[in-house]
Amino acid sequence: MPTTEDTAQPSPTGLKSVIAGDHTTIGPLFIIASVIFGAAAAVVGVISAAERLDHTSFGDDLNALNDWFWSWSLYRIGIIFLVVMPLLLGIAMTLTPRLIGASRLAFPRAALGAFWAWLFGAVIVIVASLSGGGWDKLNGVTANENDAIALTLLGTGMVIFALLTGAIVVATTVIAHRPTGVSLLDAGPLAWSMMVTAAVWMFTLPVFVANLVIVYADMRGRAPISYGTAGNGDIWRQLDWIFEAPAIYGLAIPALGIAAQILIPAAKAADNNSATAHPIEIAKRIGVPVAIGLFATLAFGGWSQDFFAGAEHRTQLLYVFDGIVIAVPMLAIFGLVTLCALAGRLNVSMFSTSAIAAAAAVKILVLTTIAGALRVIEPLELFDTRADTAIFSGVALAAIVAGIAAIWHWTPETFCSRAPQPVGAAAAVFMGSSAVLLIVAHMGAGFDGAVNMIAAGDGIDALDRAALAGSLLFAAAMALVLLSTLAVTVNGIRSSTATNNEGMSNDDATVGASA
Amino acid sequence: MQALPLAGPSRIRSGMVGTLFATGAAVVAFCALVAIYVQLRQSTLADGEVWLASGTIEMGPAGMMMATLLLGSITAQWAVQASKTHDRPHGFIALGLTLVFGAAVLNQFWFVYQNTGLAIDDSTAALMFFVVTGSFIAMLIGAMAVMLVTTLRALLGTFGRELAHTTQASALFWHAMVICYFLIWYGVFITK
Repeated sequence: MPTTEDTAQPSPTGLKSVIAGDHTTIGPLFIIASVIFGAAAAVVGVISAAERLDHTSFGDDLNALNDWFWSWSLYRIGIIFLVVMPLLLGIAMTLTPRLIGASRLAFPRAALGAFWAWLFGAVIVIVASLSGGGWDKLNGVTANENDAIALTLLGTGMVIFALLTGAIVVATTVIAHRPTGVSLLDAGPLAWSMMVTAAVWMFTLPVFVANLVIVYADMRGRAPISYGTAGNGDIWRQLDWIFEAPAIYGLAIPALGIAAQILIPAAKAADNNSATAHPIEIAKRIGVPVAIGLFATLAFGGWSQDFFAGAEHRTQLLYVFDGIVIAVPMLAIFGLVTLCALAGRLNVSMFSTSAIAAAAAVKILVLTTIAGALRVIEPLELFDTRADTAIFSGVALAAIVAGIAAIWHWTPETFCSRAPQPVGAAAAVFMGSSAVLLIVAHMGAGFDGAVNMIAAGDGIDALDRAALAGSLLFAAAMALVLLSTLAVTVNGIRSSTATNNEGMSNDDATVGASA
Repeated sequence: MQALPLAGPSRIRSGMVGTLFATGAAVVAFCALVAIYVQLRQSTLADGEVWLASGTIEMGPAGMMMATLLLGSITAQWAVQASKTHDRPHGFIALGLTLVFGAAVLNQFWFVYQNTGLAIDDSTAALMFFVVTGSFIAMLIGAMAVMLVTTLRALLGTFGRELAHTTQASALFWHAMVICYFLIWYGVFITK
């Protein structure tokens, strides 16, 4: 029997729905806001790529270098904390209760608080960045810029706190709100991946917060000692580990869950203990969770901080092992999806938007982890080169394209309306092409010795043009996703309003009949 | 989407699971700070420089704080036991004592700050000392706030099994906070 706390309540409508802790509202709110930020971040990405092309060598033009660094760092922070994480969190909040058979999230008010705190923090981050702030400068700072940087760091901390709260809500829902008798393996890859993701974020984001605390404490009040000294790039160097492997892979875990949930057919309950179960179904039940778990274990990245541990730690066995072995679970999932496709046992039509996008996410991640494996091979000299940007771009775009797959696959559940399939397919293809261009261009620049934070010089114009083309494709894809998401949201609101009106009319008729 | 049937009774109290996650996150943040502290200290000492001058920090108050927090752990667990057995008077005494122990530690930290005479911009060591201990104080205030909410709920509502899970969650956070202080006690005060 359902308990009191699990008994389904009628969903609130109108303004009440925005301030009520209903997962069918909070999840879409996260999704819509992150897609809007995603479109804006894509524009910033295009500006950054174009600026790099304009200033192949910044030389003595330090103001231009500062401007470029501002857009470059804003793009990175924006993509991770304002787009990818909230997008995946929103999808998880919307779908997890339904996937595990619960009627609501574990802490609905905390989930709602997480959304508003995240949005408020995001606004602080954006306003402070536009007011001369950011995550450091390369050319000295004025007092006002110093204050704006401090405010940006504060906003970043608030955003992370909110995302962490949301992740804890989702993980608690998966663990504590599953009906008795439903194991974690029965809950499916998406729920499993979100629980694992929450664990990885829980071990990664607080470390990032610790970095922020040190920087902020040094920066405010008296003259900074070292860590809070803005204007020489050191603040960014303390924080940039989260944009590099292995920590960056933590973003990709839900993408694996989404792809596996959409593409690989569910094991039939009757087959779980049966010798006649199809090998693919057994692989999904056991192999996918193991692969996701291994990938997540290798994605813990808080221990890998160049600023404090020194660059030499990247030549140690653990770091190299981590960078290479993380490709193994990725290849396992890729192999399983390929087997399903060859055996004609994909869960959805091969040409549906969700299948195209989910398959693109898996392929991008395979490419990215291979690039990551190359990066840790010391003789190739890829550390601190644009190979870091290649891996960042690959993971971020794989996560976003997995988000597209989820939005299009579950729009009826998420937005009460269907998203247009051709638009979604076009967005997924654009996003996939963009990822390939960005990974190849930045890896090529990395092999050429182009360092990550500033442009290296002549000789990589063609690669920079390819990176710009990739950024433009990404912006086009985000524009399509934004338009579709807004359209399905409006349609969903209209259809639910119509349903409510119809319900009210029926109630009135009932009252009239009684009278 | 293949939806499972609606949930039956929950397996474990979600409050405890959520508290476990939140406590874990707080402990990870704190461990990261201590790790950076130790890393910087080791590299400073390896360069032949002084981290904190001898006699800057006295051991007495640090040890007293450890003992006080451990007493707080005992009283927090006492409150859990009292709420499980519907023992309202002992529950209030235990919760109240835990809060008093927390306040005592705050007071001792104030003494330590006055006694050391360090300023945050004196050196990297001073900065990291204030960052680590300041973060711990924030965690202690958080643990006291949770304990205070539990006490108020006990005062205003029914005391007993309904509240036991909340008390358990508060006690869990308190114990984690004590472990964090142990890291400071050993890593910052003893091996300074």
